[in-house]
Amino acid sequence: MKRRSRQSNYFPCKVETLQQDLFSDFFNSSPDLASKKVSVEGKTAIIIYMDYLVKEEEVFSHVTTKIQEAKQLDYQTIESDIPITDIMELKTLDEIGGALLEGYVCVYIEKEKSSLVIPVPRIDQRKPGKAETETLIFGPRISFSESIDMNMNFIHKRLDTKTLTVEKFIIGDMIPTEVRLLYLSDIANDEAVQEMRDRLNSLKIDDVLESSALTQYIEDNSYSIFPQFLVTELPDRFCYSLKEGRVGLLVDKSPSGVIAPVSFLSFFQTTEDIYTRWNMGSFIRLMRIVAMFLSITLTPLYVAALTYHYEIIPDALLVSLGHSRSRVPFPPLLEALILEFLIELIREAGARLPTKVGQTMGIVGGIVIGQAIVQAGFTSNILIIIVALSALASFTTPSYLMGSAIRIIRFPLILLAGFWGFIGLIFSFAFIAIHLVKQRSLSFPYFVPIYPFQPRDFDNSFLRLPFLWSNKRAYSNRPKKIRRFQKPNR
Amino acid sequence: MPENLNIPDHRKLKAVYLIIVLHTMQIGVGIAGYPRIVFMEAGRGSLISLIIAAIALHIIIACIVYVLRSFENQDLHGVLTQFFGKWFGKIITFFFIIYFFMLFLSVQVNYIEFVRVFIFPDMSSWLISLFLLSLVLYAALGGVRVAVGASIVFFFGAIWMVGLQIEPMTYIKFDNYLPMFEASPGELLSGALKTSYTILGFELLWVLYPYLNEKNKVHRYSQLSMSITVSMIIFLTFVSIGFFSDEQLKELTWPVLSTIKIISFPMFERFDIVTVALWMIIVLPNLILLCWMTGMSVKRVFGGKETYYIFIICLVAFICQSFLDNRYLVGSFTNLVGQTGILSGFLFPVLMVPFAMYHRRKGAKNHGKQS
Repeated sequence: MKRRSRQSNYFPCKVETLQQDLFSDFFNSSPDLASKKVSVEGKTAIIIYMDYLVKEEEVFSHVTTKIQEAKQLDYQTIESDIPITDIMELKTLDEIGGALLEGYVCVYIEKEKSSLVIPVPRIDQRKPGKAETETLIFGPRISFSESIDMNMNFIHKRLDTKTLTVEKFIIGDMIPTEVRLLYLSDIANDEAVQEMRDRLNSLKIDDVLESSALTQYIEDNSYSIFPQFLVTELPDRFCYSLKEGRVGLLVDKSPSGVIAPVSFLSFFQTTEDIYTRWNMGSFIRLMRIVAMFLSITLTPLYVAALTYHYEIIPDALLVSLGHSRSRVPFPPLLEALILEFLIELIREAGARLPTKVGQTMGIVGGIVIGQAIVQAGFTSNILIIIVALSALASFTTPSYLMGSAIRIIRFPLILLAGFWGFIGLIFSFAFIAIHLVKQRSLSFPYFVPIYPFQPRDFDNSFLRLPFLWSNKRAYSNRPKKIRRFQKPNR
Repeated sequence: MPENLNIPDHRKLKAVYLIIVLHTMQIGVGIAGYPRIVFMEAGRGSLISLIIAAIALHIIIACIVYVLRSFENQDLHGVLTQFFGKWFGKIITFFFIIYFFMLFLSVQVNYIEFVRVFIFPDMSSWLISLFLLSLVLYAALGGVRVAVGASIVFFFGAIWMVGLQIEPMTYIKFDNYLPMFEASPGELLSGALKTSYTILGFELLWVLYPYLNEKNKVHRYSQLSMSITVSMIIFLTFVSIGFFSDEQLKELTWPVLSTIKIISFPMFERFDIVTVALWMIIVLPNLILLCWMTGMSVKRVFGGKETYYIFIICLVAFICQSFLDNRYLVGSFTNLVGQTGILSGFLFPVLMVPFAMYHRRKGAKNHGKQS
């Protein structure tokens, strides 16, 4: 039986046999395999489909009725009667089974040498909604959905150019998933495209899961804490990156796109900086970088200063610091770790709980515990301010992955500062700097424009200069066309 | 005869980086104590001594570039074997390896001394050494790109510290510079010689040259880099001499660090502690590049993998620093390195020039015969 289903000359057979074979062999006696026999002028045909994978109303109206009303029963007539495109003729049971799983309807007329499959897939998808993790105040808010068709639609609408090139990859041995590689062929760097193509081609995994999981299979350094590919849920940002000469990936069933190559600074930029006026955009970009720096510096600095370097604290501050720390029984290191851990707990609990409870959690965590912990003499007031400030600063990072990386880096920094004061602190900064210099994203340097030093890219990385001043794409992506538009003569 | 080092173009570095890299190589631990050292020798003529040394420096760089440009793509070892044959060339390179290693070690022990004097008197030297060397290993194992990249990042991380001298500048007493020309020529010259340790580091050019693109710009950029270094040293020396009276200056081991003691910000009462910790960022490019160039030279002499040599260098440096554990030893070791530097850093390139001239003439003749 098993052997027979693999054979290429499976057909012709009886309609009952086909139904029975599919039912027992292919679908493990699934109760959802629906079938209907139709007889026209002595010929028998059978219609088979999985009832939850197809749009049943359309099957009834466009397939079953059409076959029942057909003048004579052969494949030509059926194909011309049915108003659905992409009808295929298949010859083996395996192919038919696969097609049924993708939402096809199988029609077989007895004694014919092949079977007809008609696509009537049912795709339930949510309507395109607002972005949840990358919220914008100003600018298009639509986010990618879980269907690749809809996502491609978003992108084609925004990039209405014939140079938008799409390549299709099927990845995953157990559960094949469609991955699309997108780039603008007249702008994107060929090496980047080829590198991405090679990485996707050489990828042998069972299952892709999600686009952010896919990035972890193909990234340059899996051991780094910093994300090397940008995962975004904004079609708007995705298209902007393609226009800058980057390469994009879309994964079926995943509500986010992947962008590469990216630099460290890309994680601190949003498209919103471009939509707002340049002075605001520049200010906000600089502020985010300062915030990132403060977020990883403040608590370790407090720990280092209070543990070893009292002399750097000014007199005026020392009095209030001493006063607030006088009731604290722990060394500054432990004090800081407790509070940082608490903030992480509140954040995680707030993220896991349903929205309404989550808000309550924020109030309980922030105000009640914060107030109580000082009164109980667990930590000092000033540390609470510092920890809250650095948590706040870490949330200004637009990318969720980078924001989390920054929050996690703080812990080793606090430990080093607690053990070896400023030496430990500077050591960790130097380590992070060397680490960033070493990283690559899709074989492109990660720490541009600082190294390789590229001052011509400063117009749209640290700052956001007016368009008159920044009419070029980033040099560090090495796009084919560097100039976006000619500067007007004024 | 060894072939030209074939380094693929995409692995080469822009020559512009020389401006920053050579500068970061030179500025390190030496600068912190330099005003005192030169003042002890040349007194108020220190700046003149410094200018003499600077002129010598510029000439030396011209010599080095002249020698290197006699060949297409050679480093120190390649040049030496071309001139003196395989074995003799290897022996001289080996001396240079020892010299590079001594520089490496001296930078390391001097920084350890800073930390122990200013921040943690009781911190064991091996721990500070472990910090430094682990960073050096991490960067140097990444190869020349990471070594140069780290230097550039650290340069930007540290260059703002020059601005810290603005406040001490407001306390300068011009009496301290006068009378300016009291030092004898002999004193001026010995002051200039004592400058050597502070401005050493340009030897990097010997090893880095094959890795550079745009060879015709190498000379321009390295001279520019030297002038940046020189102006920075002149500025710092000028401030230190004007800020301290001569008795004070003679007693302070690290006048540049001591000038920073008076700086206080609203959030930082004593900025010198932060500065000394931050000095690690100034010292690291020195160590990383020295480690890389030592490893590279060893590889050129003995063959094999650079990675292992870098490990060995760090291990040996870690062991050696434990023997240089007091101020007196560190001082005399630094002196020794400075004196060696006069020979191997300053005299050696000048000695190489005649050989290079001979080689060029021979090359021209051969070329003439062929055509």
